[in-house]
Amino acid sequence: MYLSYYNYDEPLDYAEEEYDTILEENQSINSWANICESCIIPSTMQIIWYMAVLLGFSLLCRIAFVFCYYLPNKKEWLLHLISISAGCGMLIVAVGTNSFFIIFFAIISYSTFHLVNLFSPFRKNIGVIMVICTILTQLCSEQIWKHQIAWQMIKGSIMVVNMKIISIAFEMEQTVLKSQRGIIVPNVFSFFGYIFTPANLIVGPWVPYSSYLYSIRLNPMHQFRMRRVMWCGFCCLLSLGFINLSNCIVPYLISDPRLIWVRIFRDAFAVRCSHYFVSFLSQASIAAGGLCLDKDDKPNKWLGYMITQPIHIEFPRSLSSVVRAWNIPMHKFLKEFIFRGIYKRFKSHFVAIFVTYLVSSLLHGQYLKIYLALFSLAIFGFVESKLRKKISIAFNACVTAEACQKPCRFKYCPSKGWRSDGALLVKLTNILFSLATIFHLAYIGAMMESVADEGNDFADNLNVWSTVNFINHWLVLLTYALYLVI
Amino acid sequence: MDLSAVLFVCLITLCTSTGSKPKPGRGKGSMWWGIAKVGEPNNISPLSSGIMYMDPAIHSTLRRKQRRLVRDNPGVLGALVKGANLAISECQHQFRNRRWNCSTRNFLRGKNLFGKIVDRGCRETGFIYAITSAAVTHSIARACSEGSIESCTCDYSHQSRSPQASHQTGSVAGVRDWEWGGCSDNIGFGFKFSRDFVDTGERGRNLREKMNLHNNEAGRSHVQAEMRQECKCHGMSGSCTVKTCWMRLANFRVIGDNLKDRFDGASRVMVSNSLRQNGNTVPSNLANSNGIGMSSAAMSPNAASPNAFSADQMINDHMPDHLIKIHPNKPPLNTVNNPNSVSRNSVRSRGRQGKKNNRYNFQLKPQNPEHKPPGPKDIVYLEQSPSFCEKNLRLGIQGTHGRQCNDTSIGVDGCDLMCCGRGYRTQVIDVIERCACTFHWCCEVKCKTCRIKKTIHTCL
Repeated sequence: MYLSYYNYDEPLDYAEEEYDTILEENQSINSWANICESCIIPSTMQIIWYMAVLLGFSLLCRIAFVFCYYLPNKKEWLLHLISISAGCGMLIVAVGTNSFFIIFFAIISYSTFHLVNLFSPFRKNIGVIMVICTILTQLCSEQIWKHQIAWQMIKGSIMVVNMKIISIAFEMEQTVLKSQRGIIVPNVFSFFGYIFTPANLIVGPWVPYSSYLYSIRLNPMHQFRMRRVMWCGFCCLLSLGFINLSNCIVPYLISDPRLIWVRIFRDAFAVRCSHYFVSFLSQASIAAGGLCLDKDDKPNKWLGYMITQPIHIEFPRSLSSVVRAWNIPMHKFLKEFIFRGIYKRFKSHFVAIFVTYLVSSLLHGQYLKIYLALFSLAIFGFVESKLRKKISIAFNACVTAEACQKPCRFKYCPSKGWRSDGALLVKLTNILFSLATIFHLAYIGAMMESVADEGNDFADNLNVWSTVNFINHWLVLLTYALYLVI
Repeated sequence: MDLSAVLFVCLITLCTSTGSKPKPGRGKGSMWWGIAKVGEPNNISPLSSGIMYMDPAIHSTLRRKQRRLVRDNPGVLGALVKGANLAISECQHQFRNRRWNCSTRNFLRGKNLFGKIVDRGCRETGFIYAITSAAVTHSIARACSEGSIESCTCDYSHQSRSPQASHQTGSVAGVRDWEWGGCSDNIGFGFKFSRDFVDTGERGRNLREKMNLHNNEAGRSHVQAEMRQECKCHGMSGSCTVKTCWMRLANFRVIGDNLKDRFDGASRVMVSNSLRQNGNTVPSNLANSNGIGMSSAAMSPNAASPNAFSADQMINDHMPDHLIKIHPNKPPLNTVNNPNSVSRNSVRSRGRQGKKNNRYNFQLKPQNPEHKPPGPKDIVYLEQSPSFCEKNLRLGIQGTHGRQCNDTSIGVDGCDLMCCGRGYRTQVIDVIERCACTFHWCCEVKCKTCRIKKTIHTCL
């Protein structure tokens, strides 16, 4: 009976495989529209808000300076006070109550200055004392508050604050050595004004004390030009582009690589993009705040004072050139205050480099990945520059880690023209070293990826490296052997 | 032709049938599956909405409330069609190696898409309900984020506060301090819309409707659980000065896999759901009166009124604690009922919130009292599945005659189980395939065509 019931509704040979095609279409979750909606728009909106806070307060501070400039009796402490209040306001808006940490750091170090000033034997070494003090304070407080997410957030600003304090200390030391007088501790207003200036409080970069004073004392209308607005706009656009590259585009374009090396290169590129994002954001904020990196620094025509040079990092000549271009103010800081001082004292290139990298990594706080990356970078770069120096002397060719000076003092130089003797060979060698540098950078950078998780376990951090059997470290060892043989 | 009159008649017949017959009806929330075939006969422009509104299939498959929802939320129809097809293809993928292979060949002219198996309250039915509701949620959320539904928008106002608000509230709290950004409301909208749309016919008055509601909810919560947040830190050399987060909806395959897992571990719930067991003198034929009580009770879920004559209230009040897990505590409900949610306003439905949530406020009881009561993500069923071996036209089962099987496997796709011991025929056929492909620089792949002998086994 129910046979007929059945046969009424359904012809049995209905094509059944028709859905197989639909299946494939629906797999494309990584489509552009989806990336755009799920990642690019949210990240961009979050960053735009962040930018608005950063640039808004710097700009507000600037506008207040302009008003003060036209007041009948100019008081410098008023300008510093404006800077302090704008900085504190920005801190409270951006990081909330955690700004307490930063204020705490600044007060501690200012009282340390006065304390050191009381004992004359310490005065001549105030720079070193402050380096040790700030790093110790940071490490100790990190030990206490490490597990708080708030700490992760303000770590960057604390690093900038520490660098500012150290630079003040070294500048004071230099004045002491020059003038043989007691230390003149900067007054409260100018000291805190420098520390809390909104232009570089949260994302950096470090600027010297002198350039802060410069920005305060110069006619603000002079600096407030369309040029700076343009710098600011271009830097913001670049940083937005780089954050989307880092967050969305790069990870989704190469979403599931089979080859480990593709993954390493992708991760390293995402890390570099993230760094460019922060750098251009800070570049925009100092452009808005009217700071300059250095008195005799020439700004880029379109982008203002460069913090980082992506082109020199993506197409590097050598690892040491990457280090120089990575964060130019930071490099300047380390070179001026740490490297030179140590080199003067110990007369050893190796020790100076080692101590510089040590201070640099300690400034980053307790962060194993940074230590590993920086020390690998130091070793790789050191070996590379030694080898290239040796080769350049042996063959009298321009293959040194640093770009050759314009009137080339070597016999074989590509700058003398393509036709000149051995130019092609020299060029080829340099390209070979560049490729090696790119390779090393990917290897080091890939480890820095996935910063968000708290894996302070040694093995966890070395995960990426161990999957490729520490190949670059072995390669560098091989290079060093080559260096010894030559 | 007055549709409401027809519906009313249907309703009455259904009610009476549940009272008299032990086999519960399938509920009425399943006709919309036919939407998958909308625009199919002429495949020229299947998804252009203009044509689709004219499609008579919509009128024959959608209920009045569903049609209203489609009309009020322009752009939704395309997503629904996509979602229904997604559900079918995923179901067929998940069950490709089983005796019941989620065939939809029973569909013709307004008959139920998956065939009469839906009339039974078995595991497979539960899976169908869960996966269709999940697929609708998923595809609506996707369509939302792609911007093809006008009535749902990404509201970024809540996340623009995030870096500040989260850090003001406390440095003490852990990971929750970080608020995520991203279009969370997409999933909220999908969830809400799916509830309004998919659950239309199911009022939760009898056990079968409760089963459907539960499985629909289970499908939706699987989608919601697979909404992943991804974050990344940016800052000076690896600090976390700026953290950006965004949401990603997982591939539907993942949701299908999860639901299949739940299918394998589905829990059977009792026919006269726990009413007799808790010492309460409720007659066993109460299904009808319960239903009346339920539909008239427009009370808030937590208001324990003593006169409430609804099964749900009674379960909540008198069941021992270990058996009760009141559903409003589960995450999906809370999220959707969040007053800040945009989705509530966007889905223009006229239903009262209190009444609507009331029907999700029940807990099914496992048949084996030693088992755990089914959780919000579990698939539930009422009766044992048929064997699916032989053709059973009354149940719309095609049997496994002529199905391919794998002679080496010992699983369900193996010939022993698939053919239910009837034995199988082995054939060797010639297949033409591309083979010996080589890559030529640059950039070409050249292949030969080979004739391969393939052995296939088909059930007798």
